[in-house]
Amino acid sequence: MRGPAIAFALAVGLGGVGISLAPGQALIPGELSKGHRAQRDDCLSCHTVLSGPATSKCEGCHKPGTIGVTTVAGAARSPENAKARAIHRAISGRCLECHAEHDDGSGRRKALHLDHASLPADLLQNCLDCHAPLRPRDGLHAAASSDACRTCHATQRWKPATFEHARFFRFDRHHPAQCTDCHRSAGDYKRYDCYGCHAHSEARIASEHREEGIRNFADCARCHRSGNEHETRRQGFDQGAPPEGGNDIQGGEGASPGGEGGGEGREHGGGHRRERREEDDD
Amino acid sequence: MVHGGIHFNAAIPWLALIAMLIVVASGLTGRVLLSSARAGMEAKAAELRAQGLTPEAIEEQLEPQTLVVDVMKRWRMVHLPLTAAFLGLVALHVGATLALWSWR
Repeated sequence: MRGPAIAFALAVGLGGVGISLAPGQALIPGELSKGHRAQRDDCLSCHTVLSGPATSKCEGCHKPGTIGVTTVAGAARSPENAKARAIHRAISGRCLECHAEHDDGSGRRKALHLDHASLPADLLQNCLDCHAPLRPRDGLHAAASSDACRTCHATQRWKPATFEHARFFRFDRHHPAQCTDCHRSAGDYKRYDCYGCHAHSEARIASEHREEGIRNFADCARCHRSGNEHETRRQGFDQGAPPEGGNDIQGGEGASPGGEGGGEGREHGGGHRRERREEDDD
Repeated sequence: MVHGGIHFNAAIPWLALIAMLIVVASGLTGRVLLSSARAGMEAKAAELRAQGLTPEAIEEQLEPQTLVVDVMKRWRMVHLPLTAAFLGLVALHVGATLALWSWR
């Protein structure tokens, strides 16, 4: 049994020498992030034996309160990284919840999830403080305020986003065939009109509304929340109950053709009520 | 290799993997050659018994086959140290991983 014992001792001995001379080469499961590659052969600069990576070691270099403000070497950042500072100022001792150092072998670092519940309330209300660089450049997102993101997006994951179109217009079998039937300005979902199909010619709509004494009818969905043209009456519109308001994505005033009709939409509703009362008085 | 996410970064696990493949190949080779030598020897012995030879004569006739079987039995002298080296590398790999592991 000497042979196997010698072979075992040789393997452990030579392997041990390899580990002590070049631990990075011998043991590293995935490449480190760029800023940490100098520590490739110093596992214990981040790891503690038998307890793994220690946040206290992270904070030994990346001191809470200085992240985004100064470099690890202590030099002032110019300009400051406001996003990094805002996120880190209230989070201490939880580095490993978001930062994975070893990549997965394909050059990508494991995506870890930031628990948004751990963020301070003021930061949580202003999604764009952190997510501004990811903000899509289309008209819909350009018009959204900083706290409107949660209308469609959840903090658990950015996608899929859910947009309850029914809050503004309920679809039925005729509406819509395509988004662009109503949102005809490319990429701008704040603008819409109802003249994109044969059923609604602008001239006929105008004529029918003027017959009813309605002067401002540009924001169709303000009164007609579905494809049913009589729905405004069923909603109690005539009893003075205005339709539900829009949200910030719709400019806070309800989307409208031309992107400026939120106020007009209200005038439309108010005008509708006012003129009907006048008719009743007569 | 698969349990670590298929990467080529660390040398020790890779050496352990290579050692494992060598041990598997060595084990299978030894097993096949030994079985083959034994089967050949038993067939030859049966043939000689059928010819009515005495046990001593049969033993004399089977000397080459016996030699082959003896050699193949010594395959373990190669195989067991290879296995031990493999186990040594596995011990290093597992030990280092557990030592640096996050146990929280």
